[in-house]
Amino acid sequence: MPDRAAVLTKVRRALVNVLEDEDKDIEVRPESHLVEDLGFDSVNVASLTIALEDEFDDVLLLNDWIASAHSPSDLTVDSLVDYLVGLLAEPS
Amino acid sequence: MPFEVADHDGVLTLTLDTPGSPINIFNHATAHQLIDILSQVSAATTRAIVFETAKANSFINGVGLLLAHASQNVDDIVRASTPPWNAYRAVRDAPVPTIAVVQGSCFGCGVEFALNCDYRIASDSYETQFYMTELSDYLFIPLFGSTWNLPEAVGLGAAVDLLLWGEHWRAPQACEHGLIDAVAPHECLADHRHRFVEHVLDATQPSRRRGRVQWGPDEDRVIERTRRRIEALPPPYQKVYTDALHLLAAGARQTRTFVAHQKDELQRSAESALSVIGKAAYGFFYVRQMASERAAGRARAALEPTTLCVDSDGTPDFAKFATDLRRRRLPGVNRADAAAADYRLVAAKDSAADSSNGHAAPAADGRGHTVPIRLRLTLGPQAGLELYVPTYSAGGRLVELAQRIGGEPGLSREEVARLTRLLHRLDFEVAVTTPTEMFVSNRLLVGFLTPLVRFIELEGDARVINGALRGAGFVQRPHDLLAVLDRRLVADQLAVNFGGAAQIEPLLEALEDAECRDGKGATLVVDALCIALVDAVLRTRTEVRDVSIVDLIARELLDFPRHLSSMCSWLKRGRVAQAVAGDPRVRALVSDAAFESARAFAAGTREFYR
Repeated sequence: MPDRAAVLTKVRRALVNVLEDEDKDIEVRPESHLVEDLGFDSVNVASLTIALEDEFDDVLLLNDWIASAHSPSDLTVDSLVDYLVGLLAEPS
Repeated sequence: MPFEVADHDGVLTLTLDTPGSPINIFNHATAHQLIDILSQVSAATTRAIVFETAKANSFINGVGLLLAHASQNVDDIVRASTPPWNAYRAVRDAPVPTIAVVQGSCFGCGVEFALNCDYRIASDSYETQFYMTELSDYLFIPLFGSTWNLPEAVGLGAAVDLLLWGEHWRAPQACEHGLIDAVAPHECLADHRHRFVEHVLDATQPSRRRGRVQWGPDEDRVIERTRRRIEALPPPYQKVYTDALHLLAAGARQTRTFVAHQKDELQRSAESALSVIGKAAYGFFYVRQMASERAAGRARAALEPTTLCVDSDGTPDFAKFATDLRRRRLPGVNRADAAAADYRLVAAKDSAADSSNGHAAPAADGRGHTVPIRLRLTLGPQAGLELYVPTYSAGGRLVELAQRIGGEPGLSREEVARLTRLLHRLDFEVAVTTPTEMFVSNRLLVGFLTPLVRFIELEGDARVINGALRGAGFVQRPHDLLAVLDRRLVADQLAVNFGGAAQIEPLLEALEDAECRDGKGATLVVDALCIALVDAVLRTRTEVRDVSIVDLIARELLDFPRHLSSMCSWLKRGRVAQAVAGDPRVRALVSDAAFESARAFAAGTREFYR
C-alpha cells in the first residue's frame, strides 16, 4: 500500500503547480474542496491529471474519481488522495 | 473578477476574461458576479449592456462539465446549474437592451448565453464559430433554454442541425440562419459594435427573433427526417436524441410557458447527464484536453505573433489546403514570404529520395522552419517532421504532427508546442507522435480495418460488420472512412496482413458498398476489433508520450464511440481477455502477432490508464 503522506505531498505539489500556472495563490489543505475552494473546473482538471502523471510517473485518469463523487462538494484533496492511494495499490 | 466593467455614457460594457484559463468558462464565480452587476442596473442610468470577451479565441466555451460529471442525482444538477441559470435569466430580464459581441469560439452554453441577449453580432474571424457541444460530444441535453430559444431564432430545421447533428457555424452562416443579427469584419469589429449599439439605442435596429414557429408541412418533414436519422444511430444514443428532438419540437410550438418548458428541459437534461453513457462520454473531455496539453504545453501560453507561408505548389489537394489556410485569417498570424516566415508549410514529397528538401529544419537564414505536410494516405513520414492530415479532403480536423525517430533533425519541444498552438487556432486537433515505421494514425487504421476485411474474406457478409459497429456505438461506417482514403494505398497498408494488395481490393469494395444488418457474427467482429486495436496501441507505446494522444486519433479518425469514453479506457484487460477467450474463429480475423500481443496484455497487470 503506498504511503498516504507521500501521496498527499505529491497531490499538493501537483495542485500548487496547476494553481501557480494560473496565477492563483491559494493554500491547499487536505480538506480543501477543488471546486469551491480552489476554483477548479473541467479544463484545469485535465491539467491536474497531467501534473499528477508527472508526479507519479504513471498514466492516470481521474474520470472514475469524479464520476463516483456523491456530489461536487465531495471532490476534496483528501478524497483525491484516498482515490490515488487505492489506485496505486493495484499491481503495476 | 471574471468580468471587467466599464460604463461609457450609460452603455455598460462587461468584458469576460476567466482568470487563468485559455478559454472563458461561465463558472459560478462568473454567474455570481453577473447577477450582482445586473441587480444594480436601472433603466434610469443605464441605456444598454454589451457583453464582450477579452480572449480573441473564446467568447464562452463551457459552464460546468465538472459539476455535472460529479453529480449523482437531479437535485445535484439543479443545485449546480442554479447560479448560471439565474444569471442567464437576469440577462434575459434585464431592463435595458442586451447585446452579445461574439468573437472566438461560442460553444454550448456560450450559444445559450448569447440567445438570452436581445441582440448578437459576431466577428467574421475564422476562430469565431458557433457549436452546440452537449449532444455531439457528451451525449447530454443542454439545460439553459436552447431548446426553446434556438427554434425561435433559427427555425426548427436549423435548430435540429445545430443541436442534434453538431453543425459548426461561422459568423456568416450564423447570420444567414438568424442566430446572430450582424457580422463584422474582425479588423473593424469595434467600429461595427459602436454603430450597432447606436442603432439599438435609437431603436432603429430591428430584432430578428422570429417568435413561435408557424408549424406547417416543413416542420412535419423535419420531424420525420430527423426521426429516421435517429433510428439509424447506435441504439444507446437514440433516447437522448429523441428527447432532444421532443424538446425542440415543443420549444418550436410554444404551447406551454417558458418556465414549464424549462422545467422539462432541466429534467431531461439531468437524466441524460446522469445516465451511464452520459457519464462515460464526459470522460473524453479530459482525454482530449490532456492530449492537447501534452502537445501544446500548458494551454495558458498565448500564441506568439507568428508569420506563416503556405506554398501553393503540389497536388490539387495541397493547393486547396493552402487556399483554405490562407482564408483562415487569425489575429496575430500574418502571412510572409518564404524567406521571412516563421513556418513555411510545403507539400511533402512522395518518396524518401525526394525528402532532402522536406524536413522541418531552419531555413538558410535561420529564421523559420519548413514543415512538409502530407494530406493523403501514405505509409509514414519521410522527413524529420511532417504534418499528416489523413482525412482533410472530407473536412477531417486531425493533424498528426510526426517527428520520426531517427529522422532528420526536426523541431525542439518548445517549437513543436508553438506550432501546435498555431494549428489549434487554425482549428485542427493535433496529435504529436514519434513514429518508427508508419504514422500512428495509419497504425490504428490498419488495426481497425484488418479484422473487418478479414471477416468479409472468411465469413462473406459485409453487412454484419456495419451492424456490429452500429451496435458497438460507431456512428461513422467504414464506408465513410474508405470514401476519403486512397483505396490502393489502404490495400498496400493492409497487404502485410493478407496475401497481397490485389486480393484486398474486392474486399474493400464489399466493405464500402455494404448495407447495415444485425446478425450472427457481430460479437466476433467486435472481439476481433478489440484484439487488433490493443495490438495497434501497444505498438505505439514508444511513439506517443501519452495514450491520450492515441485516444484523440481514435476519436477523430475512427469515430470511436462517445459512450465508451475513450478507446484505451475501453480496452481494459478484462475486455481483452474476454475477446481472446471467446469465439475461436476470432484468431482467423487477426494476425498471430496481434492475437499473442493481446493475450499477453490480458494476462498482464497494466491497463492503458490506471
